[in-house]
Amino acid sequence: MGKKSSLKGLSLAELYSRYGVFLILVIALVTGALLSPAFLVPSNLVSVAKNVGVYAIMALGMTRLLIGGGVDLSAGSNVAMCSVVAAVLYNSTGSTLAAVLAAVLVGALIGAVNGFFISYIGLLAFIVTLATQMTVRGLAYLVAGGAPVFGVGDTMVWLGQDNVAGFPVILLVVLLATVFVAFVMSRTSHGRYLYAIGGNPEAAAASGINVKLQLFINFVTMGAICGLAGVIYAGRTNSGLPAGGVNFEFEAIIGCVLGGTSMAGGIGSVVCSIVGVFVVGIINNVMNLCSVNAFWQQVVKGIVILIAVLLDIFTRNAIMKSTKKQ
Amino acid sequence: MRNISKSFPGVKALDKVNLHVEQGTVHAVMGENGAGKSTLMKVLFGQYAPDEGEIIYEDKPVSFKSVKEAVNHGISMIYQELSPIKELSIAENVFTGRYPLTAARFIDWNKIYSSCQEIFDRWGLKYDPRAKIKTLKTADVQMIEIIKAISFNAKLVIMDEPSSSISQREVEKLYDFIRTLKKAGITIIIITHKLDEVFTIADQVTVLRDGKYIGTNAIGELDRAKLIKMMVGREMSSVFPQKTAGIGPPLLEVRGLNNGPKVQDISFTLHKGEILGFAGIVGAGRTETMRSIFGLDPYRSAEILMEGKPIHIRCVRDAIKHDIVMATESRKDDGLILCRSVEENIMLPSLYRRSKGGVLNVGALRSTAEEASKKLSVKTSSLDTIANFLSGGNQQKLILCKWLLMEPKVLILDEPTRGIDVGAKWEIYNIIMDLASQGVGIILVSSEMEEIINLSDRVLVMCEGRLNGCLEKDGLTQENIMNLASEVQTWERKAV
Repeated sequence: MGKKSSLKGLSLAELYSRYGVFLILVIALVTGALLSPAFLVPSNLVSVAKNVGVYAIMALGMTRLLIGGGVDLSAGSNVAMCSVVAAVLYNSTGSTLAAVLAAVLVGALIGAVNGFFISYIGLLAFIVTLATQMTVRGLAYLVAGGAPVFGVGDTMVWLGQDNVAGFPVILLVVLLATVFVAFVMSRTSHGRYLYAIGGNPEAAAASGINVKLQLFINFVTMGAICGLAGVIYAGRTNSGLPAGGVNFEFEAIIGCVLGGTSMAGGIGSVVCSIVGVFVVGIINNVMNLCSVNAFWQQVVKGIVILIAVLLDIFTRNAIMKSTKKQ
Repeated sequence: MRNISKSFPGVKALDKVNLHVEQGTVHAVMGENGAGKSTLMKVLFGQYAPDEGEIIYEDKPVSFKSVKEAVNHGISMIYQELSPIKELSIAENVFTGRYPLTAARFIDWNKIYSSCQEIFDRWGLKYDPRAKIKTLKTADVQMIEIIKAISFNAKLVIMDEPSSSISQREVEKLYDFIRTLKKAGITIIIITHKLDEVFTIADQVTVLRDGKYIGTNAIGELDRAKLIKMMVGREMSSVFPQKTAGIGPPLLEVRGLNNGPKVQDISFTLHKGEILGFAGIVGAGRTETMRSIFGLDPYRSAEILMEGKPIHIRCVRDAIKHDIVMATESRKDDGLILCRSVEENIMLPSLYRRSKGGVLNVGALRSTAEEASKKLSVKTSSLDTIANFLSGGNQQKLILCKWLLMEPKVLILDEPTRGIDVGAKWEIYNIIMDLASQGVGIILVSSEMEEIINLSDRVLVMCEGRLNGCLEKDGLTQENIMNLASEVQTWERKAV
């Protein structure tokens, strides 16, 4: 049997893929504190949490997609679209509830389009969502009339900007949503099906799972989650921004991969992905505090992605190719 | 090759095997699955280093350390699984990896096509070097692979079951070409277990069995019966477990099952407590038939009755609902989710029965999985262990585990003991017998003769997508199975 640690027979690679991101989080916190005295103070940490809130929500859906063997590059456009829908609806009806429902519904619809082409027509997720990324971006501009739509009402602004007992509301939403999605992934048959499909779609089908339906549901859920993220984004900026949300999907994917979710499917955890998103947020924050040149920030982020992907390959290989006999 | 031995951990794959091939002849190497044919060829071709023995090639002792070295000495090998690049042209495939270059180090396209045409002209073949591989039939692709092999100036060509994926008609073309090669002085070693093939084209036959050298004969000295005897004549090593209950009433009746060329007009009846064997050579359509019944490849037409009532199976879940389950052939491809835990794998098919509105009772799942894995004595350090870390035998038991939890009435087993060690095999045989004794109807697809003969109550033999015969217990011999498996018979179709 492969290399074993004493902890319930988990191998080193499994341990890393499950808990490694917490180690990285501690390293990021310590490094941040050492580099900048302004880092480890409550007000700064609150702002980090607010900054990564939208990414974190998106990462919940993205983790589910990656685990199930998919990916969504249209998520950023979807968030922009939903922020516009929320803003337009609020401005025309004055109802926050209608605005939120409409945003989530439109998001789910976009997810359903992705899911239909990927699951039932059999196109590659990468290509389909690249196409919808552009299409949805264009639609967002059309709906918004080419310019930002200002004003989304007090409730959404409260959601995006305020604190409750010192905690940002966004953080509370992220925590609640994380608990819920983590529950779905570990304690429902749907969650286990997604792990199985991402791990080996043929074996999943041979076990009686309706692979196409599960994948379709996965994309629809991702769309709805983008709708929620769009609402929060609208609240944070007090507007619907058709030009917003650019590259947000990558922020989410980086967080997921850093959190040990495999790009190849079948392996990953929602909680770890969220921690991964926060680590990326901390890296950004520390670089800002240290006044690192914006161009250098991009260089650093690119390197972080590479490291995350290398770690992904390393752990996956360790799990899948470990020799049975030593 | 003299006294070649080769061991792998736990298995002696070759035990002092001899192979003497005359130049310019077609030499067949025969034996059952696992007899050591492929290993022997890989030793010759420089892929494995022999533990002992020597290879003498053109009167000189040689030891090839790599495939490249073997190729440089004029030896080529054509594998059973063809590996053409389908989107490229014939000529490009022939010259893959050694494109002729122009002075400026670019690929010399004219030369590729003209040299390829030259080769075709020389061998009297009518292919367009510019045609894409994907436009060709399997048999033609096989020819291209052979052309590729001999274009390395090969003097000795090894073919691993060249006709296994070619239909009967196209095979003639292949045989003609092999005869042409022989006339040109090229030596051919052909690995096969088709008897007809041997008698059609081979000059000499060497038989291996269980990694041991049995003998070499000129084809004139042999007849079918003699050859089969050489291949299978062995003592049974152990006593197989016995059933404790008899066969009951009909359970699953399949009438006129059709699904493409590999599943044609299949009809049979499986009884309660019966073990019904499906024999045949690889590619005869047994797996495809089972996949059709299980709903993995929905069938075009069939009448299926379960305990006398007609049922329709359009997807796997339909089959499961009617208590028909199938442990698929390959653990890696469609058997297990190797990157997930033992427990998740065991519980996967039955999750839908064990959730309330989709929500799982994790504690109950764990105890159920615990019980199930204990019952089949799956050896694992914990239920959280990733399935990939288990041995082949334990992975196979895991597959059985997950399906037995469904309490099936019909259990289809596709090669349940492939590639697992002897101990685990016997455990699985015992499980199969227990289940049959409890009244489960079992369909056993297996290529291991000993296994299928000793476990089955009846054996249906498939050949080229059709049922080719039914052997009852008294006629259940390896010779009979081999005969039915290797050529299409005009067989009186009665209800089986």
